[in-house]
Amino acid sequence: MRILLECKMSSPSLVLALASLAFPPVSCAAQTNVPAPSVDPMIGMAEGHAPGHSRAQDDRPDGARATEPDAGFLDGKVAADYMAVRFADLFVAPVGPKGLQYTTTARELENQRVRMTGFMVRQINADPSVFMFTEAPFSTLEQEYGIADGIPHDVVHALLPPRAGYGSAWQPYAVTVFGRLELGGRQEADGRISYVRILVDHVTVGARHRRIDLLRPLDRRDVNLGPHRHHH
Amino acid sequence: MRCNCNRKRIVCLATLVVGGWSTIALADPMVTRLNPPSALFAYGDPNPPYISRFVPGQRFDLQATIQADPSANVSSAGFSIDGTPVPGDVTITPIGGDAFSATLRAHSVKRPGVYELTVDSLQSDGAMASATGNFEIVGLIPSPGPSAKNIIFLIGDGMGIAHRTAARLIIGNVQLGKAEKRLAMDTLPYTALLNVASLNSIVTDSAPGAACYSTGNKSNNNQEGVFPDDTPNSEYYGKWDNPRVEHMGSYLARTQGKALGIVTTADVEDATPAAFAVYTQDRGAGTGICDMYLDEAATNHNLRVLMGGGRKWFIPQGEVGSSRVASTTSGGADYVLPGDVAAAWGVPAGAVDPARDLITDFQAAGFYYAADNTAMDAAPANTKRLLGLFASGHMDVALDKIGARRGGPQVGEISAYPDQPMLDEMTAAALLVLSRNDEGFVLMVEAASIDKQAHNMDTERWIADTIEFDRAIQASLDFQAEHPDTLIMVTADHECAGINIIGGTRVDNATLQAKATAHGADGVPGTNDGNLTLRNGVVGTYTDAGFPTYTIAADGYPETFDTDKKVLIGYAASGDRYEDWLTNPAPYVSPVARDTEGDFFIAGQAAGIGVGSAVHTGSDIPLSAGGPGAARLTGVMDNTDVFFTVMQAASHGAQGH
Repeated sequence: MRILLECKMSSPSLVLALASLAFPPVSCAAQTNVPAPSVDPMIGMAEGHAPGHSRAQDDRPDGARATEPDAGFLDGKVAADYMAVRFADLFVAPVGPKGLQYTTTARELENQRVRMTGFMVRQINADPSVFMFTEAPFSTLEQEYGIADGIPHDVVHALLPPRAGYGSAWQPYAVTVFGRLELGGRQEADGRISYVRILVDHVTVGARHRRIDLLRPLDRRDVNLGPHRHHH
Repeated sequence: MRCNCNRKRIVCLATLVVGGWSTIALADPMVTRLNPPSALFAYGDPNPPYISRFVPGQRFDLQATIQADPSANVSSAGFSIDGTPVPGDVTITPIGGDAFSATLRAHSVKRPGVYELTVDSLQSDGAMASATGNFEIVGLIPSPGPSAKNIIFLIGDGMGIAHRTAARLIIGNVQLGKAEKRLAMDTLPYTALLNVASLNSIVTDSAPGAACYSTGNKSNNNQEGVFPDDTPNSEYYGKWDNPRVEHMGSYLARTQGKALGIVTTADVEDATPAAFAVYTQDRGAGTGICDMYLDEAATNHNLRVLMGGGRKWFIPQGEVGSSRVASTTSGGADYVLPGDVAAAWGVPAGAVDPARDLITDFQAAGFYYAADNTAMDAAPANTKRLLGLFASGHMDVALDKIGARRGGPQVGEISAYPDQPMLDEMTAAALLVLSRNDEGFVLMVEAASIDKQAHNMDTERWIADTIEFDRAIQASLDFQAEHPDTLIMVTADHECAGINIIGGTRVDNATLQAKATAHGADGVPGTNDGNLTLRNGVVGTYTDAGFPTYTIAADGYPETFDTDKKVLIGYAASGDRYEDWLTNPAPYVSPVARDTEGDFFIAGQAAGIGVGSAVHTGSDIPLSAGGPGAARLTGVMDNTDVFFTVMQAASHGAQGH
């Protein structure tokens, strides 16, 4: 299906409606780039979009079997503790002639609890517990490009609590990341400098915040393998 | 350890009798690498084709890796050419594991011919190792043909034959078997087929794929301007101390005062642009590569134009948006050169200086800085040095830039960088600046995202980028019309994705849109039966392909790619993907995370763990040329042959006219 985007206006009050992806859930046993065809119905759907309403927030259809450890739903009161932040809130746009500038909103939210909805970047994660996260789906391939890429300037680095032997597995659908917002430059394991990080408490899917666990055993993840190999 | 049929072994026997015991030491050092590379060293084959070739006076480093005995040192080494010792300092560097690298920097040979290169090394206990290879100095012959004062390489990264054909089918209005309008690249009169293998594979990447034009030599994948060595990446100089081969820009600046220009739609640290000016074994070392553009290229190669994306390398660490790192070994590494390289090549040694303000440093060196198209156009009339950095990383692609200019949605990074120039606009600006150099110039223009979008199997985006590229070629032809002493070459570095024209749609756009959301024949998502609805009855092959119809807007691009009769593209070197034949609204979406509503899953031939996209292929690529020297760019050639033809035309008059 096509991802339908709303027109981006040049004013700061950007609204981007993203249609969820109709996509079979990733099977842990799959060793290929795409899940085996005979799997469960999708998460979310996408027929169209309405301004201001993100279909990414919709639940899975009833009866869908969970393929991630189902930790239930995030308590509404807990969720309410996290301020919803959009990617457009992070940096002044358009960008000036040199570097980037955090917005006052971003500065005020530094070290606060925030939640952001977006898409995991499909990449080779040098650090298994860190993934990049963008407003619109994005994929890059470090084997081919190294870190010369077109990754959006407002990419967020999500830092999962590390778990030995496990790493984040890319999911194609929109997720909501809950955690503490950290600003400032920091060199990551792959050499990239991150400027916005979320120290993750929870990851959920859908408007009702069904909790999901993105970590998979390291040897059974899809494309997101360990330290990147530069062997092209 | 590699078999070296030429090594000499002198076994040194030491007998020590102490209190009734005797000890015998067997010494067996070996040369395991000799640069410049040769079949003579690798296989004992002295015959052509000669792997390493240079023009008279072109500088290159001699290097050997010597494996010493355990706990022994290599105490000295010397190089000789045809039996004559090569003058100059030989630096011996321990590289761990009892291995040593011997280097003699910035040698050059004036007389044409084939030469034998020998290294002789002495171990601390007297054992010796030596090896022999060869190289060729290709003569430049005074010729009455016209000289190429200006040289323009236009490189469509990843652009094979079918990419060109597809662009022509879109904008050329092919009817009754003939194209009404040719591409600009079609009008160049000479055509060659280039063999593209790199030094270490039949499938190359963009680094060797461009360095072949700039140095006349093969390189290992990932490496630009250098031959491979054995100093580990984990060591301070590892990425930067490889044996160098002088770039065309440097040679022609030295010998003729030519200027150098580099224009790309990629991050300027990327392989194709960097392969024309820097020397590194790591194409990803962005901090050092961009520093080297100023420190060496602007100084030694007379680099006067550098434009593209990649602003993040030019912003001081500590400022938001910088990607500069304080390391010579990590991703994005900075450069520091060993003393022998800096001294022999006459270049700064570099420094780990992440806080460097590279934009300000370029400006201090006389560069006008443009952050967007408006600023680029506003460059003063006497501008002789131009730096343009139009995005943090890669620039946005033609489809999306044009879409935004037409008032459509701003996708990709366009909302952050809304005023990015088109490649033809950048080319025209570069030509204006470079033409102010009386001695002429070398310009490399790269359409970088033909490749990147082909990797992502985003058909409409690589086609639109090919159309953009063709417009940049037209800008070069317009320049050549005013300056006939300009050699223009249009080529690629390799083909990407195994792309080909497989047919045309058999259904109109409305029908195709409906099929694309119908979840296949059974209407059930996830059953992957979309081949029944989106392939059968849709893909028109043979006569059913017919002739596609596109309407071209005033800006030179199709009004829409989703017409009632579309060209259909197949991918031979594919990754896994879903396909619905329709234009994707946004770039860079994974091919398995888009177009899924049609349920038409196509397993990739090159797919697998870690391969999320299509890959490069090893096929020959076309080269089109016109101008002085172009007449020799015909037939089936090695990609390194191009360098020698250009050098001949630039310095001694074109041959074959």
